[in-house]
Amino acid sequence: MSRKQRKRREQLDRKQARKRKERQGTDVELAEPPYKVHQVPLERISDTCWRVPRRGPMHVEGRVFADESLLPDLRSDRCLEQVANVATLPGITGPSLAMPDIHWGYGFPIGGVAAFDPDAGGVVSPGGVGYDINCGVRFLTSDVSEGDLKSRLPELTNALFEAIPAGVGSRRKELTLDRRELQGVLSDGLNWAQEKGYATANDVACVEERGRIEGADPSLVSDRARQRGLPQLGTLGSGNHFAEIGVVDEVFCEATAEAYGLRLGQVTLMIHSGSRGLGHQVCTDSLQTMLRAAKRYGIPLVDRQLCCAPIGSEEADHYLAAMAAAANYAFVNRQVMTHWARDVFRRLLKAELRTLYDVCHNIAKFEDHVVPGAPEGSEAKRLLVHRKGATRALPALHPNVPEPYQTVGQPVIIPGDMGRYSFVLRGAPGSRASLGSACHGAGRLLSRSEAKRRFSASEVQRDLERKGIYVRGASRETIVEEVPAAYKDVADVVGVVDAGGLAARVARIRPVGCVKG
Amino acid sequence: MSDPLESYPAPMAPTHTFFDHTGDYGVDLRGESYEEVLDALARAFVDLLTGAPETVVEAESRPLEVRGLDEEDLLVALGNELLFRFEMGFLVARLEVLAVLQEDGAESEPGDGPAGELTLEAEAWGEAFDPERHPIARPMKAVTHHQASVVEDATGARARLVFDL
Repeated sequence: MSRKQRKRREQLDRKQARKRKERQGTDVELAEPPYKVHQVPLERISDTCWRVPRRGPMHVEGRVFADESLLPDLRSDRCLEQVANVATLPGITGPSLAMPDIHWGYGFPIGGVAAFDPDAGGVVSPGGVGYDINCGVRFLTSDVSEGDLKSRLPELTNALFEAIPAGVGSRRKELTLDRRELQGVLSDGLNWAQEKGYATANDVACVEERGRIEGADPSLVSDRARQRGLPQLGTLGSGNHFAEIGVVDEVFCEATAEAYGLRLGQVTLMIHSGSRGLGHQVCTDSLQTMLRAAKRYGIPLVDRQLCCAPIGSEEADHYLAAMAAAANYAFVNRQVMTHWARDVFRRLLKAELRTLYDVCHNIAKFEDHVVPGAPEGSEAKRLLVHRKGATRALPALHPNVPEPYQTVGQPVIIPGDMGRYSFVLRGAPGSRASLGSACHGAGRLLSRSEAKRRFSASEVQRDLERKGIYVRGASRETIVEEVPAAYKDVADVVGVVDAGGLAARVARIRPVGCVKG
Repeated sequence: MSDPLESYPAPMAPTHTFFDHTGDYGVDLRGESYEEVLDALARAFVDLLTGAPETVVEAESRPLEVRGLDEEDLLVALGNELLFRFEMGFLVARLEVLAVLQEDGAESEPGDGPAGELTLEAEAWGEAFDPERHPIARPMKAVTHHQASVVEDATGARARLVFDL
């Protein structure tokens, strides 16, 4: 150790000794946030909407979309505190929102939505997007009926498992990107995929933002993020990511189902994945920058994971440009998996897969909205909307709804668990109250350990097979951790969204085959 | 190659305990000093990832340098460094902390001393990831700042971290 290093070592020792002395004899708890709302009050606004009253450092109130049956789950963790914490961020405009599948996340709750006004000191917070930037869902319809599939279900599921690499360290051998091609993925998103033959014109038209977030700057994606992203394009990943074969088993709105090309008994495919290690690294890198930025701009943080920078600052611009690049990577990731899934469906069933829609769950975008709670007749404002575990849900005639769905509204894809059902909804006018947003899934009920304590992988697989659901997983742990009982009943969550007028049910999808990451 | 056992310090003071966090996992770390807590994180990381840390041999060491705003941030940064090393094909079994250096910084308040950033210099002991020998029990996506905390008192150092799975 050099003399300089020794001097610094001594400085640190003195500081740590002082800290120890200060804390001696006191009962210091780990992880106590500086601002605590252990008992977050909730006031009823309607059967499906609750207010978290503004208090302390909150700039605005919170609003939680839920019915009474969901409240005990909401109170079982600290997600409501996080709704209140988000309300303390500078420039938040309109309430800090929570969708009915809200649960405890990092910084923002999962299921959190918040808008920030660039003209009122609004900020961008990477924690409001999350680690898996543009984690989302692609929903595809086929021209096959359940009757044509039954005997070939294990074969189809196995073939998808082979075609879509899943789990840790999974790589796609047929697709090796070089750095120049990665540049194209990051800056052009689905335009790159279409040019390379991985996407059709319909795919591009039926993906949120047409599969390309404006303003992406690949040069702001770190070398580490690129290193992580290069071998992972076209791979599912792990955790709650999946590719699921389903069957339409109930139609709630015939006219919309027809516009979406959905019919009873039809076989579908849903792919849930995100930006893999590249997106995670972009988030990790940006948190380091934003922690320092928050200090520099004097932004008080009640939770470090909420670190942020004012919109228009260099730090904010850099994050948004890198985030857009990671989001474009995620669009292409789901597209490449779609491409290989199409190959499997053609080879085994001589069937085609058509993209119904592809939605982002974790994203921050400039959008035009009338601020929820603003007087009737108020004009829309350009706001930076953060969605973390939430789905955009635009109503009919909104200019950002793809042309084929203009008269019915944007498809809203809500996956459930692998044992019960998922839903397709359509954006409804009531989503004005939620910044054009709805829920993104069922929401977790059991921790991963609890799921493992209660179930075994073979038991889960056997039970699902008894129900006619064939499952392949990259690891036995994932299968048991993702057991259906670990999730809320997505029908309850969707019921709130439907009753609250944020989005309306169109069809229910029953899973029959699942590839887990 | 040196005998891994020879380079292993005794006694093994750093410890870790996992706890549930909704869909993820958290860990409580303990050591006699902050430096030991950093080592405890390396051990916890490989334990959570593989479920069988004994399968990872200390075959070689690689230099590691990480920066952080303070003790909590440095711990999170180290966790993310370990994750990056793993994704690049190297599993770290143990950390040999050489130094935690503090930059000179502005006085944040009288008597509080310099508030400069911290740099960890360490040797990361471990081996190349081999999917045949190293099981992956819980794939990890990131190490978060959520609930990250470090406490030092008369009994030693403790820390808490939450992993995004």
